[in-house]
Amino acid sequence: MKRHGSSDSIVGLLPMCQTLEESSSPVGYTRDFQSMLMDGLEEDCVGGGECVQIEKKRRLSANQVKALEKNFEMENKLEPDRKIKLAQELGLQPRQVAVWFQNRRARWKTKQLERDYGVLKSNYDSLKDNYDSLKQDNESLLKQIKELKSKLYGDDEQSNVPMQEQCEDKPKSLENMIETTYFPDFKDGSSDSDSSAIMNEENSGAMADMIKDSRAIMGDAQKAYQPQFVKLEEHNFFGGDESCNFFSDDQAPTLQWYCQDQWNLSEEN
Amino acid sequence: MSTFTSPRRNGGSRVIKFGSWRKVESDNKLEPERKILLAKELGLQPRHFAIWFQNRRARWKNKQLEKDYDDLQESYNKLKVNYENLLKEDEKLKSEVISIL
Repeated sequence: MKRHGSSDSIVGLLPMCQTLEESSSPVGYTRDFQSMLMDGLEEDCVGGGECVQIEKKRRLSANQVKALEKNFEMENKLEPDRKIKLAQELGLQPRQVAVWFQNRRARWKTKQLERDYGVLKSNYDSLKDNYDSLKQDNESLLKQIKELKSKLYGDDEQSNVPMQEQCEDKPKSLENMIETTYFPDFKDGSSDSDSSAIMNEENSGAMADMIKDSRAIMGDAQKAYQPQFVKLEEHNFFGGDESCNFFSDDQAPTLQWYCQDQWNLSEEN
Repeated sequence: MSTFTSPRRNGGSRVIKFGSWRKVESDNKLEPERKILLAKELGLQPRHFAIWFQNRRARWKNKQLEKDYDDLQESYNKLKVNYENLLKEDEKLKSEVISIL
């Protein structure tokens, strides 16, 4: 880039190379874009060994920068007439103004990219969280279905499906569940009547809580299903009046899904 | 009139500079001694070299950010598709549970 004239009043901001950014505004948003400001005369020794003196490159004054920035905010592209006008107003060469705008646009673009990236990243992260929890829900649903199917439609034998880690209780068959709910006196010993009695007492609100929890879980994915599920629970598909204890932590729930989600919720809290 | 020749315009030194860039690419920072050394190698004033280096770093960083953005955008789009599929499956499963019950 050629210099214009050689008077001292010229405040140079011609960069050494295209990428050189001038940072006369401290607004420069990253260190990397600070310009190289060389005070005084410098010698540039090109490969051939000849030394060429370059003129001073002075920073733009704060006023000049402020004016330029203000102008930039209004319109970041420069019309020729505006350029000349601005140059005259600020006592700069038109070329300097042009270059300043060029660099300013590049800086703005980078800043914009950083902003966009931040937004995209947070969108991505939240989507990922939603995805992961939805996946969990789906997996437990799958297990539920498998379990229910095998018990209700499958063979006669009572098969104890291994429980998931979260439900740490002993596995119970569906028939056992019914027995536990309605016949506190237990025969097979997998639960004792004491605990059943206790659960009867302390779980009066459990049903309501479970419904609330299941609502919360379902709400994330599919609001439409909420009412149906709530209704089902309220009607207590086992057909009894008692509050169903099987949602309590102590006992294996019929729907592992509810149990699991309850734990999930408590983990989140 | 004095002129200033950008080192970049000198084809030869550009190549050399590129080599130096490679050399220091691993450590983004430049130790003073290395700077002087490399600058001498290129026949540059240390300050010029530092400036060049700083610019290169900034340019590289920007390019990297562009690439990262595009990659992330792609990942996001894929994830979105997967999520929507998963949502459909979720609906299906839930209706299945209801039907069983």
